Amino acid sequence: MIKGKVILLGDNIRANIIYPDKYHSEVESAGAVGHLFEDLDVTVPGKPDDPGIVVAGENFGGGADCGQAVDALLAAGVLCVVARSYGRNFYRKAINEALPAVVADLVDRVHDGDEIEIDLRLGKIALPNGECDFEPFPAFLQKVVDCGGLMQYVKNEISIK
Amino acid sequence: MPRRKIPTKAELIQLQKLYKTDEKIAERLGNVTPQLVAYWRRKKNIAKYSFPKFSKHEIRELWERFGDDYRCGLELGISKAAFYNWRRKYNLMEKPAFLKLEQLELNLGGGPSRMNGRRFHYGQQTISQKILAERAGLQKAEVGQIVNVEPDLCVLQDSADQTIKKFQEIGLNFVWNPNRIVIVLDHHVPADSPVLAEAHMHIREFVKRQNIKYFFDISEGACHQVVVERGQILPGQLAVGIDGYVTSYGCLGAFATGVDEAEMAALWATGKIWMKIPPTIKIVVNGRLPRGVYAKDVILFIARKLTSRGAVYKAIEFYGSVISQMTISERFTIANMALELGAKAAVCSFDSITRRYLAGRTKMPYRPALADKDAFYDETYAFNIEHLSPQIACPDSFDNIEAVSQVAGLPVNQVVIGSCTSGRFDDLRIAADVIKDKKIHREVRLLIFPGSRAVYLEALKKGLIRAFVEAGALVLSPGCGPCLGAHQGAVAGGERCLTTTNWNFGRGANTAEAEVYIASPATAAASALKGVITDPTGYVK
Repeated sequence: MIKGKVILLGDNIRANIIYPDKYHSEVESAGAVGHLFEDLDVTVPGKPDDPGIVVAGENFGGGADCGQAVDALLAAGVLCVVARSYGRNFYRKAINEALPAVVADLVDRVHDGDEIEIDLRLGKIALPNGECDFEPFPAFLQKVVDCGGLMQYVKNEISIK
Repeated sequence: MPRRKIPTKAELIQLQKLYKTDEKIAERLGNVTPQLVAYWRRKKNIAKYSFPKFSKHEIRELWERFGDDYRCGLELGISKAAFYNWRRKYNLMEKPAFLKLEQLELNLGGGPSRMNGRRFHYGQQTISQKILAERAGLQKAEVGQIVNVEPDLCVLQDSADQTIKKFQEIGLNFVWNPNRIVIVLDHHVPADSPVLAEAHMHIREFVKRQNIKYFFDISEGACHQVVVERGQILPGQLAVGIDGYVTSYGCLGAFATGVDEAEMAALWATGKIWMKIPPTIKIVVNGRLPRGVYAKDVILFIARKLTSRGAVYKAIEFYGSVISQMTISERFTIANMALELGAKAAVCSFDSITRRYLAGRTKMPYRPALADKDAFYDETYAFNIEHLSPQIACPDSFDNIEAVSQVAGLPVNQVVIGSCTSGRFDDLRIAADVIKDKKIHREVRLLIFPGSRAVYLEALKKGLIRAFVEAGALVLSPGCGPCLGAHQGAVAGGERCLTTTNWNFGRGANTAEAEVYIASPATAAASALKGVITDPTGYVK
């Protein structure tokens, strides 16, 4: 069960908006979190200074070079991303790095700072005013997320006891 | 003779998981007898692999339901041959008179489509859905569903080095299936720095250690061209590659898509990779190609209409009289550049042209996947290209495509013809026909790089290379050359480059500040002659 505050974003938040290209070399450093969503217009509220759940519209994380975007989101303590659709590279990368990327349309149903609760197994999101269903991950993918990423999952799978 | 390395217990268990019998393990290790493997097993206290047992009832049920060894095998998790042996044992040699489930569906209407009376799926499936569902061992896959699939082919190039490092981090000694891995060195060839030479060396060592049969060293050409022209990928198959332009294999009716190095390493370890079933866009291209207009112009035109985000995270299927009359080489160009529309995969339906192309190239049997008549498409676009003029992608994005005539007259400094996109024999012939017996403009540098060694050889035999060199062109070695901007053929800031490759943004064509235009080999050749961007219509026969 994932519980957190909503960080509401709009459509077309591409990977280089999530984490600008120019700081790619610094993604390992402590300052990296500060660059997250740096270029976003101030009218988009909610820079993620405390851990939360990112809610976005279409094509979240589109474009190439998404590795750093995922790393920066994880470093900022983002627990989960909920978007209407994703860039393919981002989607794969996020799940393989154990950042659950849920496909659901919440943009118009939540406000910035709302507390929501996501049940990945049942595919249910509890909103302040109601509930939203989504297609849960198949069991093997849930395992990938649970054990902390694809590499760890593979290591667990093949380990001979 | 070097001392034979005895596998550890863990290694033996892994090998047994993959290869089951002692004979197969011995074959895999090479230079070892099955008796020796059995001896090791006994010493290390590992039981002989016990094959699963199935009852006659179970086998008959499945046989009567599907009537196909492969399909039944999938159901039980055993091979086609293994299922055949089981039903031979139980004396079920006759094809079932009618297939229980299929018949039922047929009566209900909209039932399964059949290929050669063998392959069947339930209705409403696109090619992509069918291929992914089958590799996941399912009968049907819904759009948006996530499935775990076993690909038929993994294609890697120079960055295989990184995959190898990741794979070794996992701690396994053997890849899941060395015969399904193709590695082609094409990006940095010949190596232009000691660092890259070392990477190549690691790859060669790994290939030897793992018995990877399909390894193509630096002289063979661009990976996608090599894979297609050697018939390594077949219709109805699923391929994954590190290089995004793997979508090219759609020219043979295969589903192919890009993955990253870590995923590839995980795939090498487990034999499985997860995929989300993409929605499919259907693109129908009708009409007849006008003079001076080629496959490249067609896909540029489609990109112009759909934009560079038009097919993000979707698969594309191409149909229509133009596509069905195209050669595999032309379909290659189309499927290759579909990536520029954001497509996950691009597939041209299997037909007699595909069959003829593969006839001399492979002896492997294959089973094409065709879309159902009532397949559901996310979007459908129909184009008539009767009056299409040559198209050109202007700098920095594929949202910037114009008719060549719109930008004609702009001076160019470098023209590049080649790559996996447009570097096959017929592309070179189109360019050579324009250039033959003429001299290129003195202020233009013309670089030609054939897609592969086979293309190079054919161009040599037919005198194309001679025509290029006589006209003043520089012929480079086959491979990726200047396309990816790794080495060779750099362009200075402020210069203009016209190329037949497939991308014009970022570091494309080895440039930071230069303007890069993308067009057909005919446009490129005509522009090289004139020194300015030129509509090729007056130059081609």
